[in-house]
Amino acid sequence: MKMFRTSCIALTLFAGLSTSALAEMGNKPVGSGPNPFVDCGIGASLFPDTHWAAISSNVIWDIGTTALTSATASPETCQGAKVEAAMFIKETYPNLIEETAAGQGEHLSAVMQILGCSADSHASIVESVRAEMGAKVGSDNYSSMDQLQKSADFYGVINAVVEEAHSDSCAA
Amino acid sequence: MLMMSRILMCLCLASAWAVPVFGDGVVSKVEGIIRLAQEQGLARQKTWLRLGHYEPDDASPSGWTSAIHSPAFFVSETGNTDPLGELKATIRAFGEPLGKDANAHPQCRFKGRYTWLLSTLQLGIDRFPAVPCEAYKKWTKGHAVESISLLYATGYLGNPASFYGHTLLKFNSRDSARSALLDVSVNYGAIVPPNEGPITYVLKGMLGGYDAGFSHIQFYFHNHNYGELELRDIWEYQLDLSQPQVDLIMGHLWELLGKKYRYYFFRKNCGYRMAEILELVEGLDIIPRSHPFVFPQTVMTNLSAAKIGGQSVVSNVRYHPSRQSRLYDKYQQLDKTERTALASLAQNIDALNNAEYIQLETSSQRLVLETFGDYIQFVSDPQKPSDAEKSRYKRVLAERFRLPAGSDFSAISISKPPHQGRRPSYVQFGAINNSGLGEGFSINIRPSYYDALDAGSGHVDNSELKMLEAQLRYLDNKLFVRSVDIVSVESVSSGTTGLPGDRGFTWGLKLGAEQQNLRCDNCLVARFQGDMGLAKHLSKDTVVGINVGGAIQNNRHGYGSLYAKSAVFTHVRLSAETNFRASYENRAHIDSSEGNESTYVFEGRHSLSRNMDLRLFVERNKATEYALSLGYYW
Repeated sequence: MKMFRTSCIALTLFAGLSTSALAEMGNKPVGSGPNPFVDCGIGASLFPDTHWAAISSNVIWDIGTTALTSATASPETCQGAKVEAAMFIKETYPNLIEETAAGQGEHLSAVMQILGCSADSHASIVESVRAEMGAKVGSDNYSSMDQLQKSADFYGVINAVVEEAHSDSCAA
Repeated sequence: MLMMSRILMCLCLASAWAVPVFGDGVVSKVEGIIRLAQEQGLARQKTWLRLGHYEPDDASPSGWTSAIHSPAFFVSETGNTDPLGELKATIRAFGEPLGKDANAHPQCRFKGRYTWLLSTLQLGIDRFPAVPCEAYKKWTKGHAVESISLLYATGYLGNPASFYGHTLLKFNSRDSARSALLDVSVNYGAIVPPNEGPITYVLKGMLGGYDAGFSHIQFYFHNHNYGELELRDIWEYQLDLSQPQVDLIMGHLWELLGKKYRYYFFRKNCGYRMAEILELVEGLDIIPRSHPFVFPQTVMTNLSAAKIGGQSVVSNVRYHPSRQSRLYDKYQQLDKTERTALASLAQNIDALNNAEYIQLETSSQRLVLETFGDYIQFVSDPQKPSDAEKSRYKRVLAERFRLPAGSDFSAISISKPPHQGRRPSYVQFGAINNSGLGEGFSINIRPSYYDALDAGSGHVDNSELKMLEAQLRYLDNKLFVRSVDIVSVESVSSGTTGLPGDRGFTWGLKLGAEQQNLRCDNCLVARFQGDMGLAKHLSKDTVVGINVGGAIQNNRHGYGSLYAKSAVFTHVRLSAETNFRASYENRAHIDSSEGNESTYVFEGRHSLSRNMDLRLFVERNKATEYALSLGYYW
């Protein structure tokens, strides 16, 4: 059934983010430095409206560059592991949240690798993130959030866990 | 006069700036390298021609024209048709002094050529000015790429461009602990403008109407696109190449990024271009040059069989299952009580409060919830999940968070990797007895790709994808065309779980010409057919289905131009080598005095070897025809 719907072939999972959500994100004292979802254009249209034919032809030119040229902050502040982590979270959120619920998984390991966290810190980070995200998923408004908002939340949680308790184990 | 002298002075200054100022030592070194290259005939060597993507062209003065038409890919103005001139210009450019932007220096822009030239002529790096290529270094993560993989995404019947699967390259990090999701992957495809109509898209794709090129992005992006959205499995073939071979391929891909080719769907497609890149490795020959089409799967088969120095080129095959494959695998691992609980949840998420779920062991609850997560993602529209889908997904996630961490599933099993499949094209010879037309012979030719009985590795099970198939008959001393299929697609999703949204769905489209019935040899009609319906697995090896549809055709012999049809069918596998299909179709002519028409079909297939089969075919439609045929895949 799913294969029949060409409309299912889409990369633009979440082209927009409500400004109120972004403003709220911007006020959060999460970690240090820029929040990629707020400052680096990831909350904007990361993947501009992509036609089904172009998608199926498998050509996306330099998406990373596209993301950052729309940033409001300077390019220098929007580079590095945090931006990479934010993009990864945004792109693979369903896998990430399911693996977080299960407490393990390849995507979960990958995001911690992006943040430069040593392997021996992963279990502890996952435990903390799992506790935080479990509370968020259990909240009443979770299902009304769009995927970009959920991704931003996940980024905020893992960034805070890393900054507050694992900065020695993580290079980002 | 003053104005004239200023212009002359400007021109002189501009000339002085534009022409590289070499020191005498550099010039003599460079000219010496050019002489050496000419003495060794480098411009005629296979690798140089491959680095320039030169293809034979009788209209070119050199006999060669590059497949790339981006001026930036050439150093010489005539480089696209002059391999020798391009080689000389490239060597001179490598000797240019370092400018403001080191990354723009030819040594950095043409990293593959530079790597090959140093290696082939055994030059020390001091033969050219030293240039730091930071952008390239960053791209290779500080030269941390240890190996390269060729990936194959299985075919996808939801889009014509993806019928035959897709290939891409992945650079594997030297750090084995690093997730493969973060590796860089390189892709090749057509550049399609926005809002292109489907017909234009197909025609331009086939006839070279689009530019094409290579792009790069982290593998997780493709893994998500193919595996989660399009539900296509990915097979990864890791190559056993030396570090210099890896470096040459990396360098060449770097110089290809952003350069443009013409795209041809059937031959010069992703499979062809990826194979071209890998053929930079001396002794590797994987493009099916004698075949009119290049199928990505054929490239994978050739790669898998390739050896260099007696050693297999493929060192490891890895499977990246799609969301659908993961769902089906997990479902097979559930026991009866777990499946019952899953079915109840699929009907009503409030079943989380029912005894049949609550009384399960914690490990069983985790199995059910994780399978349900895959199920929801499988049946919902990833772009616009409904509120109900979002709500029940949230409840299942929350419940999974409530339970202890850990997973109880066994690793997914690998089955039918694409390189184990047969060749893509088919020819069949048969002996026929037709109750209306006599006895004789048949010849069927199918350039691509598979039918319901021979769908195998890398194909969609129980489905059909045929293009340009022709069936000829020689009966009672008369040769005629039984049918010609321009394209015939039959997608059968048999609903492994039987849960809502996965209860089996079929759809089909067919465009071509065929005889009106088996009794006639001069009533060929052009026909476009479509149908859709339901299918179900009765057991692991038996699928049954029904569908309804219609056809439009040219009115001939009073059969009218429209008919509606309904059909029932079954596909049964008796063993790994033997299977059969049977169907009954009823046609109701709408604008004709002809009554209903019935067609019965039975076709059995026995695989004699990987590329040969034997088939028994029986069909009844106003006459009865029996055929026993031997088929060969090429």
